[in-house]
Amino acid sequence: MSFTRGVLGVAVLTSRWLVRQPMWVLQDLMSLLGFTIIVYVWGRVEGVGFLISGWIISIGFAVGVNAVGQEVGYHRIMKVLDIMIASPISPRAYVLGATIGSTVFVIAEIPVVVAMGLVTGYWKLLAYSLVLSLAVMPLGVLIGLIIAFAVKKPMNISAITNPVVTLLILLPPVLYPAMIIPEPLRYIALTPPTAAATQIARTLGGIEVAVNPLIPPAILAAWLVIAIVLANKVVKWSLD
Amino acid sequence: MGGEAIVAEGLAKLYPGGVWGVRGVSFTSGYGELVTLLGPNGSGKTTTINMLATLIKPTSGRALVGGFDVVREAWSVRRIIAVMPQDGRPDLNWTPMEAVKWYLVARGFSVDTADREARVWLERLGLWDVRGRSGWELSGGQRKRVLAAMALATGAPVLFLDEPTSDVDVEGKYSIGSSIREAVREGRSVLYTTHDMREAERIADRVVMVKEGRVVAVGAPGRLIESLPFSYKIVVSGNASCSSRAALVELGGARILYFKGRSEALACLAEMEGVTATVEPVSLEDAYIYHTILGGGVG
Repeated sequence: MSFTRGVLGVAVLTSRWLVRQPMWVLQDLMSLLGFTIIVYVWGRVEGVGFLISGWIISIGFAVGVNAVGQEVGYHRIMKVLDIMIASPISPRAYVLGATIGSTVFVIAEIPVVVAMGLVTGYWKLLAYSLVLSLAVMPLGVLIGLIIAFAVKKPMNISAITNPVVTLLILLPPVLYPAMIIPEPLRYIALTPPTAAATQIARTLGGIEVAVNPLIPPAILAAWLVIAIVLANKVVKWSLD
Repeated sequence: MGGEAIVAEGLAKLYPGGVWGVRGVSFTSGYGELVTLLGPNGSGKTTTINMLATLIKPTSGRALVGGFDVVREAWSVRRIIAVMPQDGRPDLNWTPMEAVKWYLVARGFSVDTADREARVWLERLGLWDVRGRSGWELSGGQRKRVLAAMALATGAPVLFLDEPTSDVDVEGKYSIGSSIREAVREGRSVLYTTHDMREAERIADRVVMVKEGRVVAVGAPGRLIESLPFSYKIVVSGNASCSSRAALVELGGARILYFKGRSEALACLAEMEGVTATVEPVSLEDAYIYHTILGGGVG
């Protein structure tokens, strides 16, 4: 019971920013609309299919790295984290609550992307992308926590998480097909977790097989192992 | 609850870089008692509170909170404490009601009980009228009171409040002070820090004075004042002085002249021509000056 209440309390507190600053959601919807128009102009419906898978997976990853990382960083700055630590709230309840609270960031985007998937007929790709999005979210959370706890000056956290998210979403083949990259480089391009997860969704969804299908899951597993090891070293529920 | 609420024995903290936070702090605090840590900036007050609140690990020494060791039994300690950190601020997206209510839920309260307790403590701390305003719309003092309400409303038997009244207006200081006393009347133990000597004299049961990471005096405010080797003082600006003083302290551009008796102080005042000053009885501030600036002796 106390764990559930811990999660609930932290989730409600973490989600309050959406009530106070709803324009962030509008900005994300505008980005989605803009990307959809650009991709449709160049790649028609097939292009939109690639965008849907990449966008959904990016959402899961960004919730972890950006939303959770920045929220925890903000709590460090305000010393709210100290208040949470010196209390019966467990670190698991805090992190899960912060993750759930941060997902409000994407509540408007998900229905739009799902609708796009259904209209364009990519329902199978849509389903796999949603599953993979949920799978990369914990990895994003771990990376966000590592950044939030490792950075000495918490004011710098968003200056790190924002470029990390951009680097892992816009540069690698997440919003565009991996097939356009020459084969030797394709393997390197798929090393970011977002690109690997998107490739898995696209392979299972039947729209692209850019590399040996066993490689992207191996990349994802490697990221998860590294993130768990680093998080165990860096993330401390205080006593220093 | 029986026994001591807080037991600190030779607590020391060495920060990375070789800087000592505290060098061996020992004191106790009981339930139903308000103990104030007083000391200059950098004397180790916050470090002491952070060690007791399981936020940082002592380098040496031992501390028990509610009978639990703060290092080996940190989880048991955390179940019975609440903390208000120095320079802490509530998330600016929270309203006072949301901050207190949902923090209590996170600590394990049912939603109904949390709602009820939040109402009680927001009223006590004078925040009821602004309960629905976000942190962006609150003053710095009101934000401090929100943090105080979050800690006090928990019902935690042991509270650590680090400068809860800094940056707070007079009205706010009194409402926080009376709310803290209310918590003490309920049998809770409160350890708090302040630089406001009058406030400490007014509400503390006992004072622990620290200087350079060491305890230099412990006692009830009245006892600490009574045990001073002087009873009256004259505060003057410039270098005015007289021969009959027991001690002299220069602080900034002011001089404080201390006297054993009122008649000596009045004689000194008469001796200093053209000086406008009054003879006042000594206070906790003078006990603080005696122990932290004069080093417990008269010079």
